[in-house]
Amino acid sequence: MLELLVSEGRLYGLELVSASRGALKRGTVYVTLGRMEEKGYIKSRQEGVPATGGLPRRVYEPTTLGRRVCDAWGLLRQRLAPRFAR
Amino acid sequence: MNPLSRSIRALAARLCCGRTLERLIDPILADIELEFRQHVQAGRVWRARLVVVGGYGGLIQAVALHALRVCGWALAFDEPARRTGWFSLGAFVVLTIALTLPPALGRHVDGVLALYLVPQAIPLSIPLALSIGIGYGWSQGTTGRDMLRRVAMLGIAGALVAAATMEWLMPAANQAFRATVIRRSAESGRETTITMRGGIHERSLSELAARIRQTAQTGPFVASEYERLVTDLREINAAMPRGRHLTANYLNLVFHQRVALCFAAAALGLLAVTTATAIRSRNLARTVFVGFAGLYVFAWFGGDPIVAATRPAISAWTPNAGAAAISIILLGVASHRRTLTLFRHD
Repeated sequence: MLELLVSEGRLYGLELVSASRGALKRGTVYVTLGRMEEKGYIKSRQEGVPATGGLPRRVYEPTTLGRRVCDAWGLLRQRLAPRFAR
Repeated sequence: MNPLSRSIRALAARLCCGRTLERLIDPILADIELEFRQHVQAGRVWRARLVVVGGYGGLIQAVALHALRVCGWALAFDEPARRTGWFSLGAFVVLTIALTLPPALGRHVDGVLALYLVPQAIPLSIPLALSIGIGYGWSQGTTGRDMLRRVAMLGIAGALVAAATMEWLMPAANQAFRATVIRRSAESGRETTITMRGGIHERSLSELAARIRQTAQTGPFVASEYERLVTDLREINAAMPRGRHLTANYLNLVFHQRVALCFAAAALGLLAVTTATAIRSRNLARTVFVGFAGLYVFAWFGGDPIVAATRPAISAWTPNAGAAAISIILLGVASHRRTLTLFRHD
């Protein structure tokens, strides 16, 4: 999820679900996003009320800490992958 | 926003904190609206309807996950909730053992058979244990809204566990109990033929509902139809006297009693909280609650047999309805005394 946000920059919850190609479900994505926000990996803001009416949407983007965690995780995976492959 | 989303949001605004509303409920409802509009504009009306159904399914899943998380957090960090959890757990263990012991002390029952009796005790011990835990574990300093929210969550969790036990565990355990008893009986030479047909307590809720439909069409059947092969074990099967006619109404009563029992945890939990909130003296509140709980148990087992025979649903749901009515009256008393402020907006 963090990788998707880092690569895309800014996404809605529903866009994350479709970008994950089935890896994320709509029932779990917002709970996970909420936990990540509590940990400071991502931040969110509510957009204005749409012109067609209805509820405003919430857009998510990674924080600097989130980007660093994602980089560190990528590096760790890169280093560990050959060891596990052996 | 469609009327259903508006109602859900209004309910959530009353029950959930602002953060949950902003971060969980609103984004999901906004997604449902947006997806629905996109599909309708593209002319895919049926696809739009399916998306709405899936969206609300996702909302239920998200709320359930969030509730589990909040419960976990509360049990870890919230003192009244932790005390209630430990009291409830202790009461659950004691009550389950107490309810299993009397039949387990029978002549033919050993350790394995006693283990099969445990699932029967679970649906009864869950509501009783939760109400004891709530009544004795909760401090009166907590706000009414928080208490009710947590009791509602505990009640839902208790109802799910009780329903799962009655749907899968209890019928299987009862069947295994009878199978073991008959096999042993046959091995000891008292029985020569083993033909087993499931009794009403060995049927899940769905199987029981199917039996009710069948009985309504074919008429009553005789209990001994499936009991004649276990005549030696009458003391174990005493719950269903030989030759008793099982009518559709009787099966309906059993069905409704089982479903009502699932909601007993919520009903008794609510009663415990409202009693503790409406009555200032803790000892008096506990005494009054024990009295109400006694009335509740009496309504379960001492109901009017004529009503039970003619209006099984009314008979089965009367204890829960009575507990809910008393809770509403006590809520009114608590609100009047300003000891309970419901639906605070933060």
